[in-house]
Amino acid sequence: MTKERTLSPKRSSVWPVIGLGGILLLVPSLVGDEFYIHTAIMVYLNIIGATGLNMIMKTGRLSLAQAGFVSVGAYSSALLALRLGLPFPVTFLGAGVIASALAFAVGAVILRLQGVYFLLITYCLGETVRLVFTNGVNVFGGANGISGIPGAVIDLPWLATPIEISSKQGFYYLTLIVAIVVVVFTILLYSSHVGRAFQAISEAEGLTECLGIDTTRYKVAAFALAGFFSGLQGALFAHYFRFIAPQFFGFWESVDLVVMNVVGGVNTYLGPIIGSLVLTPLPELLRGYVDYQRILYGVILILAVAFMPGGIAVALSGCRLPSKPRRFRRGGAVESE
Amino acid sequence: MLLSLPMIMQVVTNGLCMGLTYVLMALGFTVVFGIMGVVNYAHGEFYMLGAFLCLTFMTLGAPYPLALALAVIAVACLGALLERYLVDRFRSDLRTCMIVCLGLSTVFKNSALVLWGAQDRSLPFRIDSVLSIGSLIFPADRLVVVAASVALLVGFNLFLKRTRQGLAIRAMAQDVEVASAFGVRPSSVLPLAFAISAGLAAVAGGLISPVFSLSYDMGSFPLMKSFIVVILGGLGSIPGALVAGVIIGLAESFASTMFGGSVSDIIGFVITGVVLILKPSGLFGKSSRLG
Repeated sequence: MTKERTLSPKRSSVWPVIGLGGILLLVPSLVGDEFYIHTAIMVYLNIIGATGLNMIMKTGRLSLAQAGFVSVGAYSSALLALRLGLPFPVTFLGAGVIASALAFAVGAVILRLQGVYFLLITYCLGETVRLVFTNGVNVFGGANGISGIPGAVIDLPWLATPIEISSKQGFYYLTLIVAIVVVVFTILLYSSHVGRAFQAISEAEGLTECLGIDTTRYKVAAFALAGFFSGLQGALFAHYFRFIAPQFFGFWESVDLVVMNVVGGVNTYLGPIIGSLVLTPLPELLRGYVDYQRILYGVILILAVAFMPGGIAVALSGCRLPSKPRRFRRGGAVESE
Repeated sequence: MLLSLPMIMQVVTNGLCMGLTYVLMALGFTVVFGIMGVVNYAHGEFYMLGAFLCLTFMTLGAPYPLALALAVIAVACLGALLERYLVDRFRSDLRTCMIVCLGLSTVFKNSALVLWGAQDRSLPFRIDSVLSIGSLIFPADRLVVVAASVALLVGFNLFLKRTRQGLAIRAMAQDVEVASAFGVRPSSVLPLAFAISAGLAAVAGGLISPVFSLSYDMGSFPLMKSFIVVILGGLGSIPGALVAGVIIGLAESFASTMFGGSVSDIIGFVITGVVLILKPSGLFGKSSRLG
């Protein structure tokens, strides 16, 4: 464990983030336009999910099922609130737990699959979840989804009056706080022995196993944690929009989270954050060219990965990636990288 | 539900028609994956372009078979160019390559939206006749799809097994480095393989276009199906794609007749999930070669 020091985050990279958080707290009072606040909320929601996915990618896997877990969280929280009348903090954490339990159960089976097989089975998983919600008309409202979801009311025993969060400003702070907690937790996790195990698995899974590390356990743990974060993202989404439907959580929503990680930079703490920050408002920025919006989006994606191979975070920090030996794959067998 | 023989035959015909379209899609997908390790998310867009170019050539006055051939050639050329000048640069990294293909998919899909509009279109060509043998009735348009698909599959197999280019592609699929050492040029074989892959998707799109309506996002559904077929059959396995495509097509056809559309949507995923758990590399194992 001599590499411990080099792998832990530098103090200097943590404090500016916290400082930035302080500034972000003031944004709603400085920015009058609700549209910007809405965009910021979406950015924070994506940061939560993208950071979760980053954990899976840290173990060398790629999941296209994340929107599925977001939808599980959203439906769980909405149904717990509407059917059982449970208070928001319970439904919120419940959503995370339910999504995480699903991820744990499914992950234990599918994480045995390697590389592209895993990628494609997660795709099937995401689609299956969406189809279950679409076809479960009685419980899940089918394609029409669930409407009339209450806003977030936080009524804790030690609070004099319950905090009712229904405005955009309120959700701005709520999502910001959750995003910060998720990011800080992830950074701490990455700098612990768990993070080093993740890193080791992504670089050489077989070798890591030989070192006596139960790689399956770490992979399942990463998948379940990512599921938990996705569940939280879904719960916030449901109570913010007050309406959910299966089409909000399709294949492309999963892809967006992957894209945020890759464009932002997978191997840095800031990667998923920068990715969410850049890519969430991008379609809005292109709205002026409404016909060509998605075309430009596609072109920007290709250019981004072409000219910033390690992601924006790496490009900004100005350091070069260590050049990887170019591996020729045997047909069919693809490394998990 | 009572299943009579004519009804079963009808279900089988529909299942084969869809299944063979899936096979055509999945073959192209699996060829590109087997050789390059590229998961081509833009594959569904080749299908869509095949159908729409077919429409365009027909509105320019070409008869259906000619329009189909032109569309396929155009899409194949597009595929070769994309491989040569774009995809090839990224194929060493799965993630980056995936993003590039997704970007391409978005670009094509929305270009189609701009070019051909958001409304569903239909081809000015239909085969309305039916073929009846005794009490059995087969819709001719679906039989055409089945026959053409089978012919293409036989042709594709002969190409892979009997021609020098086919040999080169199979060699590449086994080992790019060794094949290069034996004088197979990646810069000419890879674009060829990509072109064939795109061409097969375009044929599938063009063949199915007289049966279904055309829309700019018509590619996502067959892309999804080719994923399932390829996983079920085993990545890179051609017989696997064939068997899995037919299984999925028939299963969906039976499920939709007996239990309705929602079950048929899910059944492919369920079959694939179960098979993967029992045999993680798909039905036809981890064959590293094409063939």
